[in-house]
Amino acid sequence: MIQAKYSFNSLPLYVLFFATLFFVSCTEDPEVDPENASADDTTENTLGSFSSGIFVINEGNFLSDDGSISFIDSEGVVQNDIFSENNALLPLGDVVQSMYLWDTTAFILVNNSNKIEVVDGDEMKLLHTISDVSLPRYMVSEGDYGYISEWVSFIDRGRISILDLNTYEILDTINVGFGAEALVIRDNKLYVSNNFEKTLSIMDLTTREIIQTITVGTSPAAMIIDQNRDLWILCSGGYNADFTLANNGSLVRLDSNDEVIQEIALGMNVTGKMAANVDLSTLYFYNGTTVYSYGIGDESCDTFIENTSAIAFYGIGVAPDGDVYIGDSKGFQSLGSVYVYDQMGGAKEEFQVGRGPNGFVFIPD
Amino acid sequence: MCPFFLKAQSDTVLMRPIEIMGFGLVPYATGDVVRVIHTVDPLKTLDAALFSQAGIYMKNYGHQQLSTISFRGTSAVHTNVLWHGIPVNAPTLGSTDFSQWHAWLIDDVAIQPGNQGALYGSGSIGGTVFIDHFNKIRTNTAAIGLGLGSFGYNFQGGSAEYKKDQLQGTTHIYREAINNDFTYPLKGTDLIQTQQNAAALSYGFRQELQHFWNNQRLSVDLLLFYQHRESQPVISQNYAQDFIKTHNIKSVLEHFIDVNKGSISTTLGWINDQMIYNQNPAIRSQQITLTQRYEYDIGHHFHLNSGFLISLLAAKGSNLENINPQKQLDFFMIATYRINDRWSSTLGLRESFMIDAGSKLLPSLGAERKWIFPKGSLVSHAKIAKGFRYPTLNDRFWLPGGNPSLKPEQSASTEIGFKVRYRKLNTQVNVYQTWAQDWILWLPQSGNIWRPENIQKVAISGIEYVLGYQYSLNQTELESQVVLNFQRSINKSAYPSQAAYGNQLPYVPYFTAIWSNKWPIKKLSIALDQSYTSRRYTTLDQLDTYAVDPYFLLDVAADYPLILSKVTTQISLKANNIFNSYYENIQNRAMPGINFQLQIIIKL
Repeated sequence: MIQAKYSFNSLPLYVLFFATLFFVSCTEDPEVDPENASADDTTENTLGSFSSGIFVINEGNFLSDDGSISFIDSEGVVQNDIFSENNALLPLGDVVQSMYLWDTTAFILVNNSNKIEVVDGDEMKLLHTISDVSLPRYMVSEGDYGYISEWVSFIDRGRISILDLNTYEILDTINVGFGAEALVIRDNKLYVSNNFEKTLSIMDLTTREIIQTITVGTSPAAMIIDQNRDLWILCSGGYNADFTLANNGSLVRLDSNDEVIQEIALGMNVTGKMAANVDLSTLYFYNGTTVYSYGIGDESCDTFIENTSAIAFYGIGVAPDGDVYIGDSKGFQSLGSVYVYDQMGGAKEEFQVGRGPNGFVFIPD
Repeated sequence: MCPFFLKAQSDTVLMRPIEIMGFGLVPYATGDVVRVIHTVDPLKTLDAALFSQAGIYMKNYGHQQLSTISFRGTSAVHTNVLWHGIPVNAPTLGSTDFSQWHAWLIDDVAIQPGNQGALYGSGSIGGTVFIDHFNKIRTNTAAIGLGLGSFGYNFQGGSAEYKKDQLQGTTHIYREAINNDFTYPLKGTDLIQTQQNAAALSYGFRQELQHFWNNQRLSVDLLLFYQHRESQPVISQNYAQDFIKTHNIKSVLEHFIDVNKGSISTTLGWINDQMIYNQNPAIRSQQITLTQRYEYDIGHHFHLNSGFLISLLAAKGSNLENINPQKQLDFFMIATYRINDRWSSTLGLRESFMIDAGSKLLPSLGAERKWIFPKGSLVSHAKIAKGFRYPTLNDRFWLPGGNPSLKPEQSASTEIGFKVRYRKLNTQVNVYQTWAQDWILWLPQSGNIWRPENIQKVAISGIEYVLGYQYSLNQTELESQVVLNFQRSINKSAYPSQAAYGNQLPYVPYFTAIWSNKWPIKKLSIALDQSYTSRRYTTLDQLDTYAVDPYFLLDVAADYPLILSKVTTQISLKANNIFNSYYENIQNRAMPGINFQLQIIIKL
């Protein structure tokens, strides 16, 4: 009798127990089994080689850890998130700032994750992680050495870290101005735009010392060496005391003697990204959803394209065939788009890529 | 005391079926549901209580980190939070960090889901959270709380209630710290990573005093919070050094008087918040609010609740310079008509003005019908209401980019619900729909500036289901409660692209479920809490590749009281996430696996 009563009254406990199992079975187990993940990844990795095409650097949303790399092959097929897909779903990081290709090795600079992921550029397999960098921005190389610009912080001076490209060791760091940004090498000298200032630092690559600091425009950013070997610095412009736009963006030209020989006031603030056409005679930069072109030697710039259906341009590059690639961040509300224009500004294609496309690396056939 | 000031019992036990009742300053309005949140675990913060008892999705930016609410498919700025009836969402951000509200300092919490613009003003779109009121009767008691747990968790708290003659009050103080150095498997690797830079330290103090005389009451409550939290980084960045320090002072003074057939309460609140992120200059905000509420019975059928609210909002920081204090003035009236014991209806009306930010007229209409049966009852209710939200100070004045010409966000809602009681079973179901427009999004502009605009339209629909039941088992009672929330929060604007139209908003789960159980075995009490949170997309693309995986959690707790003379010592042992699941509440921010906590509460 007692037995029967107990059994009947235990019913709710059984219901509870089985319902617990039901809840569990309905849950997709998010726990990672690295071995299985790697095995699955190997079998499913049909992405093939990335030896010819276009890498798109997708910055990701700030603090969301969803930066990524996309790849557009020569057939126009887009493969998104190729870093994670080829590394067992390892997230690439927070604010993927840029990627630098040295032979077949790619260095992916992840700004807010304070790291550089070194990958095999053909297969995107992770080779090494460089973690002793602080807010890295861009990278260039000369010989066996890489040069990395780092913001360090918003209150400390920026710096250049010198990387041994074979061992991935940071050999030395040299302080420059605040907000060390873009890098260009010319005549055994490294040029560093100090984005939080109005200056450019010049470092001798032999002595690894800062040999000169030049005042340019407000918030210097991207730099390009044109067909005359002159260096062009795009200065974004600043803000007035009341935080309204100063509309004082400019293009500054530095000759081979490092003298400022031309300054073109743009009459607006611009984003600090710039690209040049194949023969380095025309510069492209943008503001909002309008791209401007500047022919070397001209007095002013022209409107190259205006895309009223875009949300916000966020990156620009020119392919070896001369097509202009522009990334649209879509306000980081959704995945980004890449618009392709021919050299006359005619729209050609659009691709959906990762979140916040901010730059391109082109791999010619 | 006015009959509409029914209050929640302070000694409510765990798993008591959710009740619909008036709560402190919550005016009873037909067509609405009010749920009391039992802060049964005095060593938890409010975000944990809201999730574990109501299934409300809380966005936790890591373990014991910033925690904001997503109520009925809305974002954090669409839930109004009232402390003693004073709105306490930060004037700068427009939202509340619920992890700052520690249960040790709180007496009572209730929620009122849905659009309550006419009743509570700006921000009551997804729902309203009520924290504390002055309608509690104090006793002469004291308590000491101690906690120890995984990842260096430790808690020390003390509290005392006192009452003598025409005076009563309560004092609470606590310190809580955690190293948060838990380990987790790093996705894509075979590494077990130890969480860095996630330690948190908080102190809190509360002092409430009340004086009664004749038919009047004068009350004051003061809350002081201090938090120093390292900012838990994403999993790919395990060596950050960011931190956030917050100081909060909240104070309120209230005068209450019973008058013939009614009451008048006058409340003055002063709130001062300060936040420091890393070495950056502090962002400070201040709010002064005066509100008066007049409640009056007209005959046996009419009840009138009317009043006004005046708020001054100010903020100062390196990006918030030279802002004139923002002035807000609201008038409101809520009229309840009880046709008979079964039928009642409520008409609400609020006119709200904000200098330079427009004005809104907000009506609401609710109705309720009761059926009483020998062993139970059925109540059905329905409501239609408009809601709104003023832009925040950051939205309007942040330099650069703030947009002073923003309009208030607008919404309209309707809902219908049923509540059934039958013996020891208590169930509710609510179905709702909200249409919202002019929601504010920050958009990139030319010159690297982001600027907020009234651009987004959203359609929200959902079902809430609550079931509470009790089983008798070997002379004990198994108590159980199920809460299910289904919600669709759909983007109805073509921003940022046509493809985003019709997709679920980021970080709104389609489904959350809670199943809580309590089983007393003699003096021992075993609690089993399960929860499920479905997939959440992180962008408007509604792609599984940009989503946070669903997760299931099972927590177990055992409570045992030791009674020695007049001293009761409650010993609790808790095991959380006992399946040791790796899960994320926000994308790529690790949450801890299995963890344990020992609590000792000594009541004198």
